Amino acid sequence: MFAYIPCETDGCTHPAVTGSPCCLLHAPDPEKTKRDLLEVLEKTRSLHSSTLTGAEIRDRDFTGCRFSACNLSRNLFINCDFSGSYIQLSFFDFSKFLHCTFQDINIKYGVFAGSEFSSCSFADSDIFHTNFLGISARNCAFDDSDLYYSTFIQSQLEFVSYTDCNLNRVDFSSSRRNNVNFKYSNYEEAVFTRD
Amino acid sequence: MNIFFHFSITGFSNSYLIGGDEGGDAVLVDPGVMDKELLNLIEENGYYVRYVLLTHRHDAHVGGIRIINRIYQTEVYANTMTILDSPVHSVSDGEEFFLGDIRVKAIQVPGHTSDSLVYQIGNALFTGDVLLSGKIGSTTTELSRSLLIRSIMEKLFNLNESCMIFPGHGPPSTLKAEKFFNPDIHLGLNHGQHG
Repeated sequence: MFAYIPCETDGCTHPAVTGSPCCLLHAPDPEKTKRDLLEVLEKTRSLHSSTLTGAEIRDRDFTGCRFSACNLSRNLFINCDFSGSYIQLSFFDFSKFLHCTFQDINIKYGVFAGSEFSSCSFADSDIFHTNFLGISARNCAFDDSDLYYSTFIQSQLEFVSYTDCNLNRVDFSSSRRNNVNFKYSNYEEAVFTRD
Repeated sequence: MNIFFHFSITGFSNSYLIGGDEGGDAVLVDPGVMDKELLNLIEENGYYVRYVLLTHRHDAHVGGIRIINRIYQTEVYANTMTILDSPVHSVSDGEEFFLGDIRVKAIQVPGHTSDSLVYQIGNALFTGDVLLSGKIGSTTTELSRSLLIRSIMEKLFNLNESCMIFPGHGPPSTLKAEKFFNPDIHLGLNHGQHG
């Protein structure tokens, strides 16, 4: 778990894809390397202690899947459905999510720092202790979600909705907010300024 | 190797349980509270807490030591001689040691407290209150804040930026994300508090 296995290519610092000695960039057949790992996920609906970074992942059904101890950073996810999934202690930092759905999802100790979200929904979800440090989000919704102790520090939020959310100990300090809606949420329990 | 989170609402602090896939001896980082939930986590995974790593002496991170020592025969490691009357293996800056099969490197990063240590295990950094997601640890003076920022820059930010950060409070992060987005570090640099 979290064993950092670097790509065997000289000078490459990217992690090797699980099941391959190389990163996706240096794999002899990147599409097959990616496909093999995603097939495991689609068959078993579970991914544990796996690494796949730098991939473009499009039109995938990840509903109800379990992700634990995974490194899925620097990926591009387009039109992927994570609804009903369970994400624990997994890293999706510096990724891009376009038109993705995270409805009714359960995330604990997730890392999405530095990621970009466009037209994504996290509605009706439990998102605890999750890191959204420095994200850029546009046209996204977190409505009816519990975001306890998650952080949005230094994030850029535009047309993002947090309607009827639990914002207890959620940190929005140093964030830039434009057309962000906190209606019916307990924003008085969130943090917006530094002491 | 598996890493499990445990959150204690007493001090809003994180403890980490580290052990192999087949149970056996385990390492516990910063046992702020030894409660039934943590005990269940240990026992249900077939672990025996043989080693305890303490990042610093604040009660939110060491409060569970006495109870742990009644249940398990542990070796406690910290940058001090005793913690709550329990004897401690004193660890110094840069020291590397093995806990069973787990290789640990201790990195002293003063500022939040004089005894603060960051433990590096593989690609994981257990940072205590030194470096949190989007923040640095609290300090009592401007001088100690400057010291903390400088220590983070010199001792942590030169590590592989894919390193994962497991802090004493709040969600996990990565070194890369903190380098890019941590406003406390950037503010400290802008105010000429470093170098």
